[in-house]
Amino acid sequence: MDKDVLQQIRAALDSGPLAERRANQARSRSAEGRLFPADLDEAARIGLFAERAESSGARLHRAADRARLRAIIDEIVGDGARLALAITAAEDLAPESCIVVPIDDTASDDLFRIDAAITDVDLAVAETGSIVLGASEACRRMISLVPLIHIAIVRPDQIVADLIDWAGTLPAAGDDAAPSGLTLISGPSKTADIEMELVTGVHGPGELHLVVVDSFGREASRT
Amino acid sequence: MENSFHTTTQKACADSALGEKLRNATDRPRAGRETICREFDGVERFRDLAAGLRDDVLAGLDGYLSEFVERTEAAGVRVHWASDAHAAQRAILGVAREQGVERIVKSKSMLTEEIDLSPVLEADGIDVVETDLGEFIIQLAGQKPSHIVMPAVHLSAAEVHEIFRHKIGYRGAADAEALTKAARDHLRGKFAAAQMGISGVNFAIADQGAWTICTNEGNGRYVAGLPRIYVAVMGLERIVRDGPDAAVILKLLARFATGQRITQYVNVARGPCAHDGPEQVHLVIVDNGRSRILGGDKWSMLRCIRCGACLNVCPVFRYIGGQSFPGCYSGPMGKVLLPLQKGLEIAGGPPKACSLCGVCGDVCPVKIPLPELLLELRNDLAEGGHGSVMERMGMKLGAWVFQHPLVYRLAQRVARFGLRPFGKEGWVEKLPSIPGEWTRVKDLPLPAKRSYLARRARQRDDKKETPNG
Amino acid sequence: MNTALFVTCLGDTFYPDAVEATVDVLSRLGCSVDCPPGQTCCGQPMFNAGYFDQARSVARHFVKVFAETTGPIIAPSSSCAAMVRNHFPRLFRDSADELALAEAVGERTFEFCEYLVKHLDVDLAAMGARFDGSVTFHCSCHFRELGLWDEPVDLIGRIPGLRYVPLENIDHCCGFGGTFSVNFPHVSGRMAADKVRAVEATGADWLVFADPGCAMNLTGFANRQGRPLRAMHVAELVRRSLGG
Repeated sequence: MDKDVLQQIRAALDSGPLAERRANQARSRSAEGRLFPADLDEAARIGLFAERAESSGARLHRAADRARLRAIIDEIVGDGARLALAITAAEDLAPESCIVVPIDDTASDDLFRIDAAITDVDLAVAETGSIVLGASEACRRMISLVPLIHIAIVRPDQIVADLIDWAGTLPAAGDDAAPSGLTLISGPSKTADIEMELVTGVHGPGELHLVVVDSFGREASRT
Repeated sequence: MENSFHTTTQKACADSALGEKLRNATDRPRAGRETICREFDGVERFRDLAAGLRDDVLAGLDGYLSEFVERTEAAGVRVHWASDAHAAQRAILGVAREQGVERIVKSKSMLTEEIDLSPVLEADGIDVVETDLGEFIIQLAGQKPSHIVMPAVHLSAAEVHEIFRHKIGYRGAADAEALTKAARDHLRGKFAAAQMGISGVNFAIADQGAWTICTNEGNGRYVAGLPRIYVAVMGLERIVRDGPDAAVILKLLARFATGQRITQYVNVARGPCAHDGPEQVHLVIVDNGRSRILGGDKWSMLRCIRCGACLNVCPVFRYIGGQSFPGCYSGPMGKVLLPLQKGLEIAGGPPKACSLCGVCGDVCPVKIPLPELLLELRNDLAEGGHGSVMERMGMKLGAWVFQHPLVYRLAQRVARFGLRPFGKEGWVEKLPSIPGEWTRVKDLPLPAKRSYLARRARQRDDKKETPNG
Repeated sequence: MNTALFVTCLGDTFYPDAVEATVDVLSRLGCSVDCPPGQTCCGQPMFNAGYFDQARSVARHFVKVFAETTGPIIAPSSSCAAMVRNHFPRLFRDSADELALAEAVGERTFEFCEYLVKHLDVDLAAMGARFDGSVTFHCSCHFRELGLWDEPVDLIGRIPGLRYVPLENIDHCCGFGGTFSVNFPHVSGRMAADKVRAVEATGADWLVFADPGCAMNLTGFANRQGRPLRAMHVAELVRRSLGG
């Protein structure tokens, strides 16, 4: 079956209008698609990231250190909220009144009962105001999707300037350590399918909080 | 079949409420695209770039698909090749039966509509739920999409309220926010209970063995992440070479579709995942006429990234919408793709529903020469004898007249002479046959008493002047 | 400057005054205007309807007639100029000789406003032009096809005294589209209705047009509604402003 379709393609290309181009494959020019230089300085990257993230509906916070980060989380998350965490050694980030719910499997019944999730990120992209989350054992992607509130912790050195820079971080061929999936998130879940009226929190979170933390304290590693 | 397209467009045109919704739905993304594309500081450069990288992939499609399949299989994905719609249906149904699947959640995929997938699964007793809000609504309503990106734009909030009331027992308010929340709650249960998720593929990335699913709502993330089995359905032309090429397409897709920089979510799926994703992943690669199009003179249609920018600028689409088309694709891209896929017999009407204004070709992010393709399709229709006898004879007669100047001048005098009795103050209100289609809605001016060339000829005769007046 | 006049079949049949105005204006600008009497049509109606063979025969006749002329070929219609310049190559792509002849004719074919603005760069004020009144302008889709857009309004703006009122959604198609207007009259009518409404909303004394096809479409629709439009071709506007 696969031979049939590929054969059809080959036959079409060999005898059709694309035959000449087929013989003269051009070099990739995707670098020309760059909108921002890779070496944009940190302050500019953070500024651009903040502006772009906010225009997509995310809320941006700055925290100088862990203490400030804790305070911000405290303001966002309501008393008694059920929290899922996907950062190692981050138990101290959960406000006292909250209940930490460990999620280690997407089949868990607890998944749909959480109110908020706190995760770190693999990368952030300034051009589009996006964060990148790879799949993880702590179900980082699912817990960042299900509740209405998602808080993502971003380090300044994780912010790249352009989407082309993000593309450059995609794993090389045959890299077994590559996560089996990743998601670029650029703002809260939204739709305008009914009368073109914008509504947030459709299937994913209605609130996306991005906290750029200058000094996180103990290194947050991917879980 | 062409007559029925004539009928559906006529009905759509007469529905002024529909027209208002369509214009609302297309004006905003159109304005959004224009605004955000100023960020490119020269959008032409990006269009050239994108067209070039699409063409390079198409020219080496067999190689890129082979590379992609090799990598994705190495990551644990089961790949199924489907030469046509039936083969694709069979492959997916086969997986569902093999795995004992009873409940499926789907995210938006034009391809799955093209291959008519859901009816086949439902006939087998499987519950299939659309999770994109617009698709969910029209599934409940039993309707076709009216736009490839915003399928439910033809419905008002009040109409959605009625649909929800009848089909899911909804008892809440009739505003967009409340209705959306109701859909969210209803569908969360479906996501949790589904054994299989089905999505489309925006484009595959050859050297990654991965593919993207772009959504604003997050249903694509659920579908590709929560159920035990995930099936992605992909048109064989929807592929780019590598990450950087993917980044270029991503930069264009949302900007040209809705005026956003990027969709809220871009999922890059690359296989089964022990914890944070599906256990089993299948990919169905569908031909369904694409390889045939690839070998023909209209191959450039395969560059399409399904952004919908052409729908949003088409002056005809604003009045007829997507439901009037004989297939799931509509607007300028549908006017080209439907006849290419279904043949001129079934879909010969759409290429003619075009005033050749040219804007579609100007806005396409991958520079598909849509106006030229539409003209070529009209040529195919004419050469294939699809025009009416009157039309064919009219064209042949007209061409003959235009090659003989004296006959042409005589014909003008005959036309004037013949129409004058029907004229009122220089206008004709009713004509027979094909010209009668004009006078259905407009008056036609009477030909001038003396054509310009006739005046000159007379001047020459009267004054014996040279033609250099 | 030696020029040749491309009358156009619609101009010839329905708007001979506009064609006369074109010749008059060109003459006043110091051009001699040759008018090949054997011309008929460029083949656009057949081409747009998909009848390429028939269009080719007509185009062949056009090339034959105009190959005998020298200098710029001026058309008071953007759609006709676009047909010759942009689409003749498609019709003659299988014959190198005919293609060369067609391209030679095409590259010296210009639309009226294009010629006056980009080639002659006319100074109408210096010529004593004046028009007391307000006008709006419908810019036909074919200007885009020719790589033009601002030229007609630029030309209109060179007339002292004139008050120009921009048409809302000026870039929206009027709904003519050649055979489209008889194949899908209901859609064509809706498009014309929107355009006519926009014209009326300007409150301008005159609708100025540069394309006979668009003009027939809009004035024909307006007339049927019982609210006829006062319309004139841009060449007629220029002639009037020069006192003609």
